[in-house]
Amino acid sequence: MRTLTLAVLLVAGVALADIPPSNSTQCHSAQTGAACTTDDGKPGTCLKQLVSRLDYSEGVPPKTKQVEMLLCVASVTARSTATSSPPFFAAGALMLVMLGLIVTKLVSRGRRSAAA
Amino acid sequence: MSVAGAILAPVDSVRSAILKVASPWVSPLFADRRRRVWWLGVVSVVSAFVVTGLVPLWSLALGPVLLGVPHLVSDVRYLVVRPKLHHKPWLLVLVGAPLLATSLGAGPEVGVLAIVPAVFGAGFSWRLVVVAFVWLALTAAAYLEPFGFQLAFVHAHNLLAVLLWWSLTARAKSMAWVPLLTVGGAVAILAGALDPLVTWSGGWSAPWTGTSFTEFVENITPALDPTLAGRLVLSFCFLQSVHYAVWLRLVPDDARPRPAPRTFAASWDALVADFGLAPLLVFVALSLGLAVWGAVTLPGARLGYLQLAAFHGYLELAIAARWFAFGRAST
Repeated sequence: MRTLTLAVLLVAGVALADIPPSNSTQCHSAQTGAACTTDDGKPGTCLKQLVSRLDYSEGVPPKTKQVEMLLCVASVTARSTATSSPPFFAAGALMLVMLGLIVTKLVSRGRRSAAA
Repeated sequence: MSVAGAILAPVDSVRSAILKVASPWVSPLFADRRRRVWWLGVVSVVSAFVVTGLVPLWSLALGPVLLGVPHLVSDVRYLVVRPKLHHKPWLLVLVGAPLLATSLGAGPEVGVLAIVPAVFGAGFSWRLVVVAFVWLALTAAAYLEPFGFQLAFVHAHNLLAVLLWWSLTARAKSMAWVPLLTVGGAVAILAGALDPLVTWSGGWSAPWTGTSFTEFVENITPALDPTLAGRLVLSFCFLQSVHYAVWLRLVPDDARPRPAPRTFAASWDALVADFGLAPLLVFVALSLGLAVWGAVTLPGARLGYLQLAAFHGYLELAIAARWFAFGRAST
């Protein structure tokens, strides 16, 4: 779902109250110090920062708590080579290729049965 | 006997023995297709409601990993293979291209583009005009407000499955309980009906799932009152479970040529007849692979599945448009 939302956010470029904290998405599965790109396209580094988030662990209405999370902080020295979720994208793409092969197989089956 | 037959034979024997013992009680429930689909539908919706109240985060995390691929297979089977749409390569390519693009990250306006080739061949009628207007409206919404459109679609496509199932065959009035309970359940959840049960069960938090309500609220709800946003996540959980039940239980039961239930081995043989053995083995490998991936990292497996599954909501939309434009289901 995060991948979906990420894609949407990239297209939408809008800020709503319930989206993840700014500059957090690229650093979600990264280590401290990893290179990243900020939401406005600048090269940066993933650093621990205190942010305010809703906490639903005790039910609704949620409480607000301060949590430490990795955010992409703009830096002139950092390289902008980090990507958000390459393993997920690669896995998804691999599965799609397999589905493509299956569809091809189905079409050839369809042709055979139509011919018969 | 095939390998699958040999594996499934003991399971069928156990099932047969249970049915023999329970026959006086369960025969009336299973023998008649309409009655069977009715109670299976009602039980599925009620179960989805209860599971949402007891273990929502587990349902959200495990559902796509365990049932995601089988439900995609069912989706393609009953929307494409059974109506023999794959015998029309031009349709497959023109509808498939935008669907494939959405799974590779294209915007929602590309996904809704699949509606256009899906209705090729339908004669000019008021139905086609309605489809054209709907497509234009959806495209405009997807261009102007892609974020809002995606959020709305993520929630609404779960209901689309119920609509497709409803359209599959002529329905008795009693069958309306299934969509009514579905919509009623979602409304009740949004009104807070499940809040006490989730609190009682401790379902607001499940650290072992690797996810949280905060994460779902941030990703699948728009800017809302935080309480309503939390309930919208619960509603999504409920509707997603119903969505899976529709594709894995109700549609197969309705679409089966023989009205009586069949053995697991016969179900496998029917799947082989529809897809062929090799593709089916790939589906099984995908399902097992995703389950193993989920055992290693549940959030990772869920994201991987969602990347793959991005196409299927638009497939359902395109086929719904096709059925409507042609004036009948399974066209």
